[in-house]
Amino acid sequence: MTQVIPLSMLAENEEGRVVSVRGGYGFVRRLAELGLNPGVRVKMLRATNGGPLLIYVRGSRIALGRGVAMHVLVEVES
Amino acid sequence: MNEILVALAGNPNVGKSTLFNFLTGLRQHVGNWPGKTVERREGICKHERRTLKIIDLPGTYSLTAYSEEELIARDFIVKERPDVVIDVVDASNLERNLYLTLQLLELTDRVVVALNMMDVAEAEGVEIDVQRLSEILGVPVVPIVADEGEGVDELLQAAVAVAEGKLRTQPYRTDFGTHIERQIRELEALLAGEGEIGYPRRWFAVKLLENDPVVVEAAKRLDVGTELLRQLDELRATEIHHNFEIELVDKRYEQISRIVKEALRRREGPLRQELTDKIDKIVTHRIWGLPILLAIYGFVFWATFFLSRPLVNALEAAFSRLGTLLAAKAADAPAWLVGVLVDGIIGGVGTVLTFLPVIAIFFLLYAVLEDWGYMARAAFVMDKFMHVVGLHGRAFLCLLCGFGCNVPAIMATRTLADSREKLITVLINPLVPCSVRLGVLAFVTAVFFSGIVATAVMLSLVALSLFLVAISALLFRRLLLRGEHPPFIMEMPPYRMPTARNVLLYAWERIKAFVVRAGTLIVAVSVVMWWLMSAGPSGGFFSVSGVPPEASYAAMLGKLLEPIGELCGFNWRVIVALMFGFLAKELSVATLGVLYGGGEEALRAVLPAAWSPLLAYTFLAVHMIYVPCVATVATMRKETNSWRWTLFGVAYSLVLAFLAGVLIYNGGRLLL
Repeated sequence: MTQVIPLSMLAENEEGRVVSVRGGYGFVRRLAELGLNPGVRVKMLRATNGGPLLIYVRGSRIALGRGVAMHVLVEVES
Repeated sequence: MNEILVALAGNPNVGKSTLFNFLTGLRQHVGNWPGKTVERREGICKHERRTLKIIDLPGTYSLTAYSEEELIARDFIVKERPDVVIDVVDASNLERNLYLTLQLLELTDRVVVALNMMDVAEAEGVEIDVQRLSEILGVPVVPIVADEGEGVDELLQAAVAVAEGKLRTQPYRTDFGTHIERQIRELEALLAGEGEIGYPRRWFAVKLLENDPVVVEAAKRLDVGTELLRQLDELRATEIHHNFEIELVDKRYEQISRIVKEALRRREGPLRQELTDKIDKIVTHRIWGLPILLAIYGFVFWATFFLSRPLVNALEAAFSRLGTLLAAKAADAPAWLVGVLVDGIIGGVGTVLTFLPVIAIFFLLYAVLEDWGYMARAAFVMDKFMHVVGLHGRAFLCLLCGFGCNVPAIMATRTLADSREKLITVLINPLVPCSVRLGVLAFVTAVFFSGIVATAVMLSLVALSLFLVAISALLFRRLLLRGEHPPFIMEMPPYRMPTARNVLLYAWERIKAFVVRAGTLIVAVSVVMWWLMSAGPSGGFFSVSGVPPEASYAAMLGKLLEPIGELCGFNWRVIVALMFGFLAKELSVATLGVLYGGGEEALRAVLPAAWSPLLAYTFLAVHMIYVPCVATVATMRKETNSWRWTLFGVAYSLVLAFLAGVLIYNGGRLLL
């Protein structure tokens, strides 16, 4: 059983697969350039309370603001 | 053979600067790209009797028109036509890095790929078939370890061969799929009727599909421009389900996956936990992250401002001795000449040099933390807190450093990614009270107040400064960013051992930049200020030591401004003292000493009689806020690359100080 949740709700050490990125072209493109586009696997490394998140994607660690991560939908096994 | 023009391109944090430093060493020059706040680094490198001119392009993930850095990089490749582009690629992160590589190959066929960090990739269990990768990409691929210079000779050999046309490349052409390729062909066919368009045609067509604003503008100027844009409009109207911009990105990644599958192999078996993740577990910890950051920054602050103290003192003493010595030797020379030399030039040069130990220590430590990778983590930890004033985490160290000295603090804004955010951080920085201003605050407070009142006075004024920093940040953000909050997206590089070469070159470059770019302005202002203080309309110059200050131009100017100053209770003496505070903030107290007679020590007795405690408090508030010292202004000019913004910053602080002065003085009189 899979379910789709915002990336910001991924728990630490949990993995997921990006389903879609919502937002303006510029925003979506910028995330894609950093390797965050549909189909890619991400792992949550650090989720701070109210602060930014640290994820692992395509071999690099990317810090994202919580607002940014709200716009990325990921599919997780539940 | 003439000089070979080499451009270094690559993602941020792939060791591009390390390679640049290795190639050029001290033969490098750091400036700004014309009209931009983005750093431009170029240098010279010799290779087998050839001279290579190396340009370090800004680190980018892509080549769109949406960021200053990316535009600079692609414009350089298109317009300056470098003989060869070295694309530095992080071997341990091949997939993401190839995204830029494919775009470079769309733009030029003169590319050599430098596969850096092979050691890291191997340690992570990644094996790259270099031969195969080179075959697929159609350009030379040379593995290097930039830290140690391993493979650099082979890299330069390949670069020179490509530059001189001895090695023909067959760059990989991204296949965007039947549907998009058809659109590209149609646009290309239209472009074929056009003469030189300044860009590769296929690339131009792809960018038109991506709706690249710069290329669309360029298309409008072509003969077939209207036709091109009409066709594009039609395409967008008929194929609304097609989002070309995103589709092109996806296509590139699709092909990258294929390339990676062919050229890269991951060793089987469980991956060991990487050192980077282990360190990150600690330094980004939700509880320990902040204390660790404060401890590290605390150490940097302490080392910068306390370890440098003896050196600064020694320099100050040496320059004052040099001045006295020179004055004695030149006793027969005209007074004005001695004045210019001793008070103007030697004084000015002395001021510049006393900043050097501070700048050197700060940027040595800064470079170590940056090169190691901690700075990105600090930004991560602080982001939550800086968010309150609308800034990102990286701005925190710039503000903290301001408590010691605003000069290195403003120089440190260089590493902020967003140019508007950088500007805001530069503009608000002078409002952070530096150690010299805190010193004046302590001195004057001690003259007028004691015990708990003194503490309250000092704390209230520091709080006032910080309050102004916060509201100014919010105000400028409104003004400059129009309320939008740039999304926080930042790569965290893996931790790397800092290299001595990188750290030393970085600090050296900062020192050089300060002396050359800011130093000249500081000396020039010193001479002018000296002249104002020691010359008067009655003709002739006063001797160096015996100044009858009432008759100087400075005093005249002060008296002229007195009606304005009186709104905050200031007489001309206070105004002149503030004027000299511009030279260096501690000079305001020294000037008061001269103008009230008896020097700094006697002030303790004289001031309480001349000033009310309210006036003292008003003076301190104004002194904290008004125009930063000349060294800071010169640095602001250097970092913003704009007189307009520098003067805006100066005017802003003047107005703010004046308003605060008027409010405090008159409010205080009403209350007391």
